[in-house]
Amino acid sequence: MINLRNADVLTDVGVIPDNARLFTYTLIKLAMRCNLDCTYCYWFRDKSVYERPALLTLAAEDAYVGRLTEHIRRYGLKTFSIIFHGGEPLLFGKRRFDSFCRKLRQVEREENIALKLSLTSNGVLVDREWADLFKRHNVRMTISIDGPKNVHDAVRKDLRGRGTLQKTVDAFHLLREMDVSVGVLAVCDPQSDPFETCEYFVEELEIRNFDILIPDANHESPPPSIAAYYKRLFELWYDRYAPQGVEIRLMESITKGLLGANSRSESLGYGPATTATLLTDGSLEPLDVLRTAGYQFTKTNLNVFEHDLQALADDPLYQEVLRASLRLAPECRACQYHFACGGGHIASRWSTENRFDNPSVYCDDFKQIFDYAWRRIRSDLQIETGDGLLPLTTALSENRPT
Amino acid sequence: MAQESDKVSDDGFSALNRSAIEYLQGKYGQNLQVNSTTAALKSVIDIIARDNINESGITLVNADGEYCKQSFDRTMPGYGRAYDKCSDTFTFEAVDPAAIAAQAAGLAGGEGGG
Repeated sequence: MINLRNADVLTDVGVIPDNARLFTYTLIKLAMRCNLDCTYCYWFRDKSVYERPALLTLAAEDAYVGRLTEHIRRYGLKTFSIIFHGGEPLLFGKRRFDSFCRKLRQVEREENIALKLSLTSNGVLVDREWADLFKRHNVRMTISIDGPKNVHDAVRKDLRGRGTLQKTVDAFHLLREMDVSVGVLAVCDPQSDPFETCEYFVEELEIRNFDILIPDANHESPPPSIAAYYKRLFELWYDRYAPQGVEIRLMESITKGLLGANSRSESLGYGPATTATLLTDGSLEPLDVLRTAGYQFTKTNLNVFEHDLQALADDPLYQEVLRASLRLAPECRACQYHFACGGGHIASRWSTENRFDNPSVYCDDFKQIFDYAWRRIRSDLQIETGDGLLPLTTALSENRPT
Repeated sequence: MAQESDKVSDDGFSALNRSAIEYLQGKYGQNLQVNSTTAALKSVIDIIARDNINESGITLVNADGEYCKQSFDRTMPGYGRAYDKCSDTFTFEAVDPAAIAAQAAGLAGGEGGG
């Protein structure tokens, strides 16, 4: 049960809470390159990734550990999250990864902080030694699986153009066998059938908790519609999988937003874009997905050798993105779904003409998806009125002033 | 599609957004609670309630402190929950949102977005 008294606090759009500026996590690029050539990858749309060191340098690693310690002390943090990312982060190598994690866990012990470590991988390089490292350092794994063979192998190919599903699924099973916490993320192929993907995840891989992400896109390259796909996915989750205890994160995020709560999602829902990214040369940049806007778009003059982590909060692009994430475009502010949608992913709002002052490039799709979801859920909600339960539809429509 | 959206429900509401909540509060009082017996909705309502309790120790009244608690779409779904349930990780104290806000404001000079 949730209390409606509380939910409306979140619906003030346009105000940046001061604490939105305090960094509580870092996205660390352990590798700028990848061993796969996925058709939709956002990362390589900005060719400047090739201009940085292929792997996180040792000097940058050590400088980051120092800056992290300083940051934790300065702000008295009790938790901090680190996401190891790439490219493909496992290209970093086991020895370096082990060493880096040891340093981070030492910071955790010395500073009495909980460091949450996670890593997102295509899984191809995972073996028992990697799995042992993840377990030893308590690193939560996420593997990218887009669906069954016909879906996954069509887009997630190696550098020779071969599908990678079997290696990825082998990695998934190995991690499970070795009791490593592993989750699964897919990217939506709007031409595919979400039922096929859900059945594969739930029935074949026995996954109880996954997400199907919205493809990265912006107004400079309008994507295919995703509305039909996600309406169908919502229907499947609502009627078939949720009763089995299966969680599909984006469907939960949509529902949270429609219930007036924070979606806690980058893709959908009103909230600040606050990601800080560490590149392999020690550079600090805003949200990495923003590089879909073009060459060197996310480049700053900041780095962990000369600047503390919080310095990124004063970077002009970081500030622009943070402001834009909380000050929605005029069309969004007038939209009935402005809170549940939040303008979508901040990178999906980009156009060279208006920069981030746009609705999402998926705006029309989102309206259809939210319409569908609200129609499904509204008749299944009740409110406690003090005199017992009342269907929400009745409560909203009874004697409504015109 | 905009026209279709405008007619999403007979009552004119399209979500439990601010206008819907204010309308309900005007009719039934400030302390309204929403619930459902449908599996999907019940699970989400439970998540909302649990997140509030686990992360702020209170409720969404302290939502300002919750703004920073976005999930990471590129980590495993349920990452925070799974991690926090793990017995071999640290037991960590609740972060005081007000204290963090004060520290950040002190550093940043209170950037306003308006």
